[in-house]
Parts: sequence; structure tokens; C-alpha cells
Amino acid sequence: MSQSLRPYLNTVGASLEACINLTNFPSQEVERHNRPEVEVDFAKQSVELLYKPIHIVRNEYEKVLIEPSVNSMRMSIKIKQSDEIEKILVHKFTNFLEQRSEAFQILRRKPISEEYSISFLITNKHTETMKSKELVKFIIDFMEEVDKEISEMKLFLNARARFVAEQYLTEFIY
Amino acid sequence: MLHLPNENLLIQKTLYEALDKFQQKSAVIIDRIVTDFDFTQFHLTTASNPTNEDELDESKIVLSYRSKAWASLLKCADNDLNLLTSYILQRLENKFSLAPATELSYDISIMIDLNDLTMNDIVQLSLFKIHVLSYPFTKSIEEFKKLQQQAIQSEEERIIQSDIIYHVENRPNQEGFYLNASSDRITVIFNTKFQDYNDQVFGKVFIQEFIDSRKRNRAIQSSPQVLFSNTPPLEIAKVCPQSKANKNEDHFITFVLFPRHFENKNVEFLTVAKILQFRNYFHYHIKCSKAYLHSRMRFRVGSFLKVLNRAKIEDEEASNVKKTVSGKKMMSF
Repeated sequence: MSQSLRPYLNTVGASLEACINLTNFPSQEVERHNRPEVEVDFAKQSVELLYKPIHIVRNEYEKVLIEPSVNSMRMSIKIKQSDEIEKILVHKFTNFLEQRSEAFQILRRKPISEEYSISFLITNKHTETMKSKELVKFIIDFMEEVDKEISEMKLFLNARARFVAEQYLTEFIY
Repeated sequence: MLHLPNENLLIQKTLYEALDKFQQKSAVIIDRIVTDFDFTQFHLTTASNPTNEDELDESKIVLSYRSKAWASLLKCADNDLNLLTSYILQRLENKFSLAPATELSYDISIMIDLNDLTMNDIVQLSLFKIHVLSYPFTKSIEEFKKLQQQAIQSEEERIIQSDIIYHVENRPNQEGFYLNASSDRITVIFNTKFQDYNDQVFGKVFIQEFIDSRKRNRAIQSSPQVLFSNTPPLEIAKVCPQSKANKNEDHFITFVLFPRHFENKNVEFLTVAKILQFRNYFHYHIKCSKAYLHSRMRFRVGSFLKVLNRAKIEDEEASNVKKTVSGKKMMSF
């Protein structure tokens, strides 16, 4: 991990740890409903159950939004995508993950808006069955690995293109 | 598989089996459709007896060929069918003749006699597609030689460019290639399109490497020069109107062939075969890298899942549960 990335991830980790303090909280609006309060329709939201959202921005390409509430928190990540290829790779990769969100449990099927690449939704159910420290660790680990993976894939693509081109042109040497 | 083979293996195998069975006096009747790149289709059938239509002549096989490029090849031969067919037969060393009737919906049918079919013939027949498509190349090389003579005689230091542009359209959507000869080179220009946006971006990376690798790697400096543009290059600007709808759709990749790439028949054949394989090679490797990235992401998802599963609280861990020797659980309260 590069030195400039560490403070960013540390901040995200600390903020997550602070927000992941969730408790069971049945809906105040509808009887016998128990829903993640951050996901409730904007018009029907109870303001007192939502906490202040946290923006953590590293640069224009990388940022994180954490929206905590009493029984759930939503976290959206914008993964670095500085050119067309990275954009495609990030889009493919997040799509890939989202299609398997059933297995990932805390992953949201779609990012909350176009602005972000991927979103997580953690509810009190998750913190009851999983260790919250490990969950935070997973998200930090994910952010770290995803950047690495995308740049590795990009390098691979370039290396492969170079190899393919050279091999093709070598055939013309008699 | 890094390189796509020039020959069609299925034709080779079919003919080899037919020949083998025929020599063992147990001839088989064949009827096989073989496809190749660029919407090319071959049909191998046992020929019917010339005297009696209902009977089959097991010693003869008809090879029919169909391709999208045929119409534009005919145009290159001034719409003279005989010129083109005689060229193809001559490429096959005049060992085969045309079938009495061209098969319906095919472009050319040739008769193969199993009595005097050699291994080399089978190889040549499996290269049939390349032999057919090499027609405009042969014409361009003739043109080049003529222009070269003219240039030497005219004493002026000047490059003469031919007015004739051969255009072969071997795929739908105006995809194909153009050939233009001048007194010191032959230019081959491919026009290729991408259906998918992602392919287009990947394609750009690949094309850039084709252009750069020649500059970077000294070992391959004698290979043809590669150029790229989104608009039709000047050589073909008059025959290829630019599509106004979408400027980024067309990709023109130019190969500049120098005299050393066709100095003798053998080298010429290799160059032509390789050039004809370019579009397939190019698109094939884009698909390959996509497939690799896909499997890589798949693997990555698995490793992320493992990390997440570590977070789960296991019930078994509870200290008040003990197991007996037989595996039963004992709970103490």
C-alpha cells in the first residue's frame, strides 16, 4: 500500500467503526415493519433516526460516502478510474460483484447513484451474525485490493496487446 | 493458440480420410459443410456420375466455395468470371478442373479426382480461401512491378502511385480491405468496425501496440509499417466516403508492404496469408483478453468471499459445547 493511500484508508476505517454501532429498531411509521432506515423512501424518512452522512474524499477520482442511521448504514465507494479502460474494467468488475450480491450479503445490488461505483448496505442483522470489526476490515481490504486488481488488469491488457502485436509482426521477418 | 493457422483443418481432414478410404477400396460417400472465417463456406460432396445423374462417382469429390468477398473479387477482375476462375485453378497448379456445373448458391465448384490426389494437393486445397483472396494481391504486385519499371525509366525522382484501388469486402457492414500499389510500396488498408463499445476501447489499445511495437523492438523493424486513423486515409479517400453518422465507428488500419515482403513467390504467399489473417487475429485476441479478464474477476470474487466469511460468527465456537467420541454434542448449562 502506498503511503498516500494509508491515511485515506485509515480515515475510512475509523469512520466505519464509529458508524457500525447498530441496533435493532422497528419502524416507527408502519407497524410490524423492520427496515433499514437509510433505505426508506426519502419522503417517509424519520429525520431523528438518520445521522449526518460522512464524505471522505481523496481526490476527484476516489471518494467514499457513509450514511449511518440507527439500524443500518450505507457506504458507497467511487473506485479510481482515470481513463476509458479503467472505466470499463471497474464497471465490469463491480457488475460482476453485484450479480453475486446474494453471496456477499452486505453488498447492495446497485450503487446509490451514478457517481459511485459500488455500495454496501450493513444492517443490524449483519452485525448480529458477523463480527463488526471483521466487516470493517473486509471493506478496507476490498478498497485496497480493488485498486490493485484494476491496475494489474490494465497492465495485463497492455502487455498482452504488445505481445500479440510483436508476434504478428515477427511473422513478416524472413 | 497464438497464431491462427492459414489452412482449414477440416477440409484437410475430410480429404485425407476420403483419400485413405478410397485407397483401401472402401470408398465413402461424403457430404460435408465446412465453414471458415469471414462467412466463408465450403461444401464437400461426392460427385455424381456424368452419364447417370442418380449414381455417384466415388472417385471424385466436388469442392464448392462461397464467400461474401466473391462479388468484390469479380469486380477486381473486371467482372470477368473466366479470368478469376482460371487464376484460382492456376494457383492450384492446374491440377483440378471446374466441376461441370457450379453448385447452387455457391460461387465456384472444383472437381477433385481421388485417383491422383497427393498430400501436397490436400494442403493446397485447404488453403483454398487464401488462394481465392490472393487475387487482388497478385494484381497489385504486377501493378507495382510495372510502376517500378516506369519510375526507373522516367529518371525523375518521384513516386508514381497507381490509380487502381482494389477493394475487397469480405464481411458485412462494409468491413473489408483496400489495396493500392505505387512504385515503391503496396498499401493495404483494413476497414474494421466494432459492434461493442468495450471492444472498441480494447481495440484501441491493441492498435496502439501494433503501431508502437515496430518502433520499440529493433528485431521487427523490417516488418510492414502500421498506421491507424478514424478517417479514410488519402490513398482511398475517393473510393471510400466517410460515414457521417458516427466518426469513431470506422477504424482504418494501414499496412505498408515494401518490396522485400514480396520478393519471391514463397515470401509473397506468406505475406498475403498473414495479411489476410489480420482482421481475425486482431479480433480474436481482443476476445481472448476479455475472456481472461472475466475468469480473473471470477477468481477475485471468490477470494473476496473468503475474506467476508471470516467475519461470520460461528455457533460451534461456543465454549459450553463439547463433543463426545462418537461426534454427539454435549451441552453444559
